[in-house]
Amino acid sequence: MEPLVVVDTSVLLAACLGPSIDAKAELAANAFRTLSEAGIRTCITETIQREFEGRLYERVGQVLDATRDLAQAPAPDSDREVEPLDALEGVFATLRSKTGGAAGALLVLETRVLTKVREQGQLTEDAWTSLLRTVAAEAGLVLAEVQRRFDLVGVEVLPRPKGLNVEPFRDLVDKSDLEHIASCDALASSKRRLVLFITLDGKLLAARSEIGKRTMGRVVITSPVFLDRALKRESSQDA
Amino acid sequence: MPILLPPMSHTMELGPPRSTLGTAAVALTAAPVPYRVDRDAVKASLDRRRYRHVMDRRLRHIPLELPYPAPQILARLKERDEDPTDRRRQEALLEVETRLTLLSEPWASRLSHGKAPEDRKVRRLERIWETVGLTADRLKLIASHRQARLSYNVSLFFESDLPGPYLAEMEASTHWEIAGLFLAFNAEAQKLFHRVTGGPGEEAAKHDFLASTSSLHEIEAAFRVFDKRLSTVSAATDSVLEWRDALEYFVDLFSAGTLQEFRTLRRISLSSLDRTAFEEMSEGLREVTYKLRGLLAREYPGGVASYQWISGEDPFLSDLLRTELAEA
Repeated sequence: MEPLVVVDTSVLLAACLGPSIDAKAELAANAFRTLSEAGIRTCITETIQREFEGRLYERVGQVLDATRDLAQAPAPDSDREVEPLDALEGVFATLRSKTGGAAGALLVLETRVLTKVREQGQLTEDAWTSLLRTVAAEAGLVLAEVQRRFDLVGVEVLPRPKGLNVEPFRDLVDKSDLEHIASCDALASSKRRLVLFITLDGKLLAARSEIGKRTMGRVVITSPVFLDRALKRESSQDA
Repeated sequence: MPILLPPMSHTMELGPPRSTLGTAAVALTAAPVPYRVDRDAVKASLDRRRYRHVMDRRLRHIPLELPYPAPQILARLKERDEDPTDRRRQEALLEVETRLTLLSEPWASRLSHGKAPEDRKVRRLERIWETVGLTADRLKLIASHRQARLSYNVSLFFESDLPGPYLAEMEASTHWEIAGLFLAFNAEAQKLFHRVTGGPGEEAAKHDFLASTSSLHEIEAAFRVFDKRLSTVSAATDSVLEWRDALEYFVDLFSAGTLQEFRTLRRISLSSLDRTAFEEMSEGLREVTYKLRGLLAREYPGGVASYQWISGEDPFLSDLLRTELAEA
């Protein structure tokens, strides 16, 4: 029987990025192509779907929070003695010191705002506010666009299986991955099928051997690079 | 003039726009209308129904007892709606909805009785063409209203300490609601045109439509499918609208010191709100938006594939995904 193929959040994110943009995205695109050519349906667990959606809202939310913080700072060229871009650098440094957990969001916002400031030239207070409102609106469009790309990937969401037990994996994988691996184990058990879990996460790939042991070989962790080989191995064992 | 809807532009406008009826709801406006129908009575009936929709369908999602009596909230909503800021757009929408309602009334079809079969067919085709055109006008007005409402929410967010994901939910759900209406309308209108004229749906022209050689029975069947399938998507977009409005009204109502503050742009603090209710409603909005997306991906995969909000090379998009990927 063909394996149940489950992809991780990292692979979904890479797939949303587009193959021409990033090396990881190209790997993800290759993985989906391989699965499609083999006629194998790609799945995700309900926990992965929730994580993917939740993280997106959280990240875009952080960008929006930071945009609002930025709006409370003076316009970058309000002080004639300081270059606008220098002023912005200072504002972002202050924001970074206040918001520890949103470093990634701040970086994304910084790049966006800087591009717009360079395009705009002189910035009155009104133009600054308007610029930030535009960025806030764009953040919502980015969120909808990522969701659209996720929907187009066309993965099947597997309902949360019964008998999910995270305990065997608690000391082995990060808390965020605990439910995903336990879900795969429970699915493999209830459906009596091998689960092939495709991920780009280095920690999970490092733990593949131990996860294999603890699931009695029911869950195989692999990367998109080795997916083709893993599929061939499973089909030869079936034969 | 093309009858299909263009991709939406993303303009920003200010002002606290009025509530509107949900999209499916207008099809349910069949308050008894006499044969000699009074246009103003239909309009007034639609207007009353709009407020009932807000009170009965949207506010019911708030899991707490309302802080003010419902009739007073209703009166306050009506009072705010008298503000001229959004009046013109609202009047335009009400006018289109009135015409649509009148067109859908049984008496309208009886007007063609007693005529030759070919005349009846042409009249029916004319009515269908007009209905489809008015539906397109209505959806454009609704989209414009939703964008104005979103713009208001951006302003409100900047004045508040509400969490970022709140605005993210407002934004994403609005974009998906509009996308749902546009995708479904264009796809179903094209199918209708193709079925009636036999030609490509993308290039529908009134002249070809009225010259259809299909039977009246076939035309009626095609229109019923158009209406039914559009209603299915409208029900899903309405659900998104209901939850989003409920969340917005919850934030506004429960943070207002007095009812006079309700529907005014002011500083809103999260601490004035019940966090459990806030999170429950945010989750509700996410769920219905996710369901709508699932419906669109199943029913209109080609439309979803071509409905692009941001280009693939946009650095804002790729920076965000790369950041997420680095931390995944």
